[in-house]
Amino acid sequence: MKTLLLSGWTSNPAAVLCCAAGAALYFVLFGASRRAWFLAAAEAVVLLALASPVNALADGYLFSAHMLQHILLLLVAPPLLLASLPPTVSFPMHPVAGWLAGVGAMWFWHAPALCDAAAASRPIHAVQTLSLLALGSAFWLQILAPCESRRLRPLPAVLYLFTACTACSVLGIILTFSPVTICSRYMHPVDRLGIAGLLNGWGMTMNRDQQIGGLLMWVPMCFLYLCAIFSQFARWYGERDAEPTI
Amino acid sequence: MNEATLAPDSLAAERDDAFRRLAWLSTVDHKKIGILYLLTALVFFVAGGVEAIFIRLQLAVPNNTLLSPETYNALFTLHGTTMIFLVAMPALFGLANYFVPLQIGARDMAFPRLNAFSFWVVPMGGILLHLSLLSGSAPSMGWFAYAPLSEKAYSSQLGVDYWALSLFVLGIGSVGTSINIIATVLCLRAPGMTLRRVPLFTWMNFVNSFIVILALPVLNAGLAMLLIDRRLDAHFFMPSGGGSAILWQHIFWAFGHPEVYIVAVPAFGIISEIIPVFSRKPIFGYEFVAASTVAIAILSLGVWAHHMFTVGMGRTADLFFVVSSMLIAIPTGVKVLNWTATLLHGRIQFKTPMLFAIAALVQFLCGGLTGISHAMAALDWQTKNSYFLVAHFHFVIVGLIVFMIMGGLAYWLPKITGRMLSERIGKWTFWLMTIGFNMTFIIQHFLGFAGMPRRVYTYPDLPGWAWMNMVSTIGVFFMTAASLLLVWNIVASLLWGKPAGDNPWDAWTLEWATTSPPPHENFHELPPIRGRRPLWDYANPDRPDPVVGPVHAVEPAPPDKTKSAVLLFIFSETGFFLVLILAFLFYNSTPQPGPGPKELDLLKTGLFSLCLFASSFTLWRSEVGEHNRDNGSMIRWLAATLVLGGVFIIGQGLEYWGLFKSGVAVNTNLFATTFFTLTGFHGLHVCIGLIALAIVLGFAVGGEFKHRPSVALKAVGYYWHFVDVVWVLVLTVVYILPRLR
Amino acid sequence: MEFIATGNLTAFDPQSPGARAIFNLWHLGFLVFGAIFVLVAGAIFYALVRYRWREGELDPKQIAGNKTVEIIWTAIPFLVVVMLFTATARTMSLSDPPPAPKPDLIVVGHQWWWEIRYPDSGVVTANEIHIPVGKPFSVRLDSVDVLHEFWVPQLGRKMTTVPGHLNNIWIEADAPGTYLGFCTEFCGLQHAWMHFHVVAEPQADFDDWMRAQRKPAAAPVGEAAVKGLAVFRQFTCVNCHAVNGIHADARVAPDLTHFGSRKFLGAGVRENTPENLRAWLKDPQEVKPGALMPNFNLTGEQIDQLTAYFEEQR
Repeated sequence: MKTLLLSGWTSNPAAVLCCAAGAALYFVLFGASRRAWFLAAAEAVVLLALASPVNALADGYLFSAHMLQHILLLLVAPPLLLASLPPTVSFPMHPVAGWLAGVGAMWFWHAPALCDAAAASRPIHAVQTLSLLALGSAFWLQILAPCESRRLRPLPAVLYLFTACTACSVLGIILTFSPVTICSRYMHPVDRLGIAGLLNGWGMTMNRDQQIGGLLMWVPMCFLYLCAIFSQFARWYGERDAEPTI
Repeated sequence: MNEATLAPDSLAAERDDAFRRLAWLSTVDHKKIGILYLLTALVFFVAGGVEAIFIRLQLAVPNNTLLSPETYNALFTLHGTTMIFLVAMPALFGLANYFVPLQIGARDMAFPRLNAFSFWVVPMGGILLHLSLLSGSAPSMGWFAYAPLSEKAYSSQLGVDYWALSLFVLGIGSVGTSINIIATVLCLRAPGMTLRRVPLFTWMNFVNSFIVILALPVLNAGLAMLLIDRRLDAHFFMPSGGGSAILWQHIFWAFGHPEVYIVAVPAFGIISEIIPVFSRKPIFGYEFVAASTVAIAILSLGVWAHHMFTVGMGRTADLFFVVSSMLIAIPTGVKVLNWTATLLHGRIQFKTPMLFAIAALVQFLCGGLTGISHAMAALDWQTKNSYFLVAHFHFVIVGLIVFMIMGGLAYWLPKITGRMLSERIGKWTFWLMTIGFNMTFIIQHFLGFAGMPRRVYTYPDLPGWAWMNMVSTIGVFFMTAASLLLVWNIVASLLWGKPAGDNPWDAWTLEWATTSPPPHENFHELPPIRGRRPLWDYANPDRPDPVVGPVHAVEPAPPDKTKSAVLLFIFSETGFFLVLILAFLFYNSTPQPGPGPKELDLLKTGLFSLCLFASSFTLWRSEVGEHNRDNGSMIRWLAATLVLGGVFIIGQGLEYWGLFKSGVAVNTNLFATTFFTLTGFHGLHVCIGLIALAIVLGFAVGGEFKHRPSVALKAVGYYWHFVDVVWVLVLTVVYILPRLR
Repeated sequence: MEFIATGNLTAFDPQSPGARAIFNLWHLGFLVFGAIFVLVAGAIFYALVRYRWREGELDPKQIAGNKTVEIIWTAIPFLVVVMLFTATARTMSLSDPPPAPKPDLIVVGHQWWWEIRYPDSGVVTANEIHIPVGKPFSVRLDSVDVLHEFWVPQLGRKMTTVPGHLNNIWIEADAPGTYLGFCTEFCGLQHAWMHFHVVAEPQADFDDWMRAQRKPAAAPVGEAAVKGLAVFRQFTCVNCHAVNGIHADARVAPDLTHFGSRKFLGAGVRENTPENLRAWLKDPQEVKPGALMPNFNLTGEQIDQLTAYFEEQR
């Protein structure tokens, strides 16, 4: 446990550097403002995913930790990132493209071959990380575009989020109840950190690990989508004399 | 605007026929259909009720021999199936049919003919279910038909087949009704009645309809698989042939748990109408009651496995389903607290509908709390499948739903018949029902803890069991008396009831703004709508409700109802195919002994698939032709689509023929079963699409679309593109993925 | 709760650590749910009394809601849920620990009886489980036909027996006694009569029982019993029933070695007395309609002989 908590933290200097560069770029482009706190939060989430024990576990040990990484990168960091941008920034994108980006990212990276490739090779893993952040941002752009008028109207947004939630849940269901291993790389972990015994002590078996991964994608992810859906309802019912309505 | 677009000739025809009794058979009027739904529910309520009486009589004393085990098992199976599918659902659909259009100021449902079809499916399904009795074999495997007991090896007679067919048909009808309700609420609202202002009964039916169109197809896919097992000797759910008994439970409860909410949410809607009116206050926290309904709807789709805490899913899965199931308690609790808060500081009038609503509220509070105890897996391990569970779900289904159907009838029958019910008989009904219900079911909680399992036709004289069962049985007679009184009250009010007037309860939603019963076109004139209680604003101009939503906004045109309906239908079909695709993945994740995906000819199928994909392109060209008012181009491209689709079907036929010749049939192994099921249902959809395209082509050639834009082409087009997209998935999953391994 | 005196079979009288853990969770749940019920139902009742409408009263102030209140009563249930979840998770691991690598006992569900096997000793019996007091037994659950469910209310959790999917539970009893168990998953015609008994006894008694069970069936002694064995062979009983020591090893129906030592017959439908056994042999369909044993139309004499044979098999 101690090894894990201590050595896990230093394992990813690249991520730390990228975050620092991102922060620098942000301040050059937009200057300091209150919104920068959101950037800080986003980077904290990214670092939590990439430079913490989560990453150490995801790196060859636990499929479920790898899934947690994906959730953080795709669902948590991008909304914070978008919230940090000033309203003047705008990226045009069609809602269908956004939806496909978010849902596609999850499905694409869990095809067994790609899942293994990303776990085995550092460059592919880097591409995966960046693509999750980018595609996640594309997905959340429809809901949280810095420029208000570019966001989806509340009820279409509910539909957008609900269908995305369903599509991810289906993948979660497949992972949970699949009788075969999705990511075979986690089958024979190389015990670099000497924590295999610890994991066994937690009762972690291959099947259970994949089940937890699938269930993470299913239940907590749905919960996040649900929260987003409620914020849309709050927005909808909160609207007063402003704009046309459906 | 927003008038129901009945063809004028059918309206005239119906008026001419109105004096004939036959008009009821051919009616497309939502009010008559609503009444027919309610009458059908009543007929089956009598059947289900008599079944319940016999069940309780058999259990009144230990070692009773009144009924044989065969009869008892058939009775509880029929009782469950009847009460859920032929009483609760039709009664609630009936109320929705009658009152949703009235509450939003519409003239009718969006699709009156579809509405009539969906209704007539219910008696047909009911007859199909009871036909099994004539075949001498009532279904007797319990209403959730757990495999392998429901398989041919253990239930060889036709009962299960009739049961499955009946539910399949009823499922189609329910999806039809729900698409209709959604389209009505989306497209036919009166000016000013924005979605943020609709009464909660309408809102909840609207949200509920989404659960129906997502959940019912899951059941239908499962039933199709069960029937393929039973009639074609396949082994989806037969462990002896490699199938999985647990998969049936997943499929059934993925439908079955949402089903609980399908009947509960409209009942929530009725409570949310009655409590404010008789407390003389608006509902407390409309937004929260409305949004929590959405939360319940979404969560209800992801918690089914809490019915399976004892089948050995593994600790992890159990824990996650504990969490997700408990989460549902939060939005449900919010609802209960909002209803309670509506009562506080009100002026509560104890009229019959209100009495039912209050009892339902308290009983649901109890049923909901015992529900949480079932979500706590460790408790469920003790209480599941005991009488504690029986008590729990009857507290929800009778204590909430039946009570609210009765309350809803007491509230709305004056509007339907134009005559008041007797308050005195109503109160007698209420008290008999409440006493009887609680007598029957409270004691069953303890019976469950004393170890009595459910679904036993008799039991030994164990300490405590006898007297508790006797008490439970006695309660049934109170409920029977209450039901008889209810019917008598209705008959008496039809004969001698005093006229109701437009608004006997001084209520505030639009159904009370018209005469009782409403005229054929529902409204002569609508009051202005600027909030949630138009009649309150009208009656209290000095203290109107605050305006809801923007005041001066221009309302955009409502979406086209046909397109919405087709999209909803596609939404629903997606669920059906999803189950079949998941079943294919599940059974083929490890290679099956015998023929496998590698026997399939990818190249040949790929070529035929190209035809299908090309047909989407030609159909798009046809739509462009239609858009440019170029009739010739539209017809040519449409014909090309038909040809390409036909070629694809021929290709499928050739592939099937090749497989049959090499001895691969649907029951060969699980690969063959899942392959034929998935591609077969897809082929069926292609064929239906081809027929629809041919009809559109016929109309186009006949010049039908020369002068007005064709919604039909657009609608069929959506469907056709959807069928193509499904094929992309099928091709990937069946032909390509297995080769990558 | 305890006011309902239901003797010794209720879940309110837990007799094993697992059942006790669940019972403690039930206490917590009862407290929490009871408090919620009293609070909410109390508020409803208060409203009904305090705010009832009196003839001629005007409509009250039209209150449409309060956001703060809503947030509070969404948050509180959330906390309650978190608390109940923690308690549930704890109880789950207490009442259902991971299985032992090798089961001490295998229970197989049949339509409509239970096959009980002790893999270590090879003893096979039916509908009656013996365990030593205070020693947890790892039980593997299996089924040969449809779903059944194994439940002993006083000894803890229930678990389905699924064909093609083995499940495991633990049983243990703190005190000597006979505990009644049921099949709780509907399994067809005679689901009602698929009871079993768990006999918990001190280790020495258990060892004695085990020793007796391991012996092959004793050769018949009495004259009638000798003829009974002949009848048993003649009427193809051996096609379904096993009796250890007479070359009968079919596993379709209950193993009848030491049948005379069992307390019940027909999975609990009758006590195992000579009269009841006669009634059963005369027509099993009369005693337990639908049971898979047909009526062999035995003569009274044959019935007496068979009964004599099985009475000796203790």
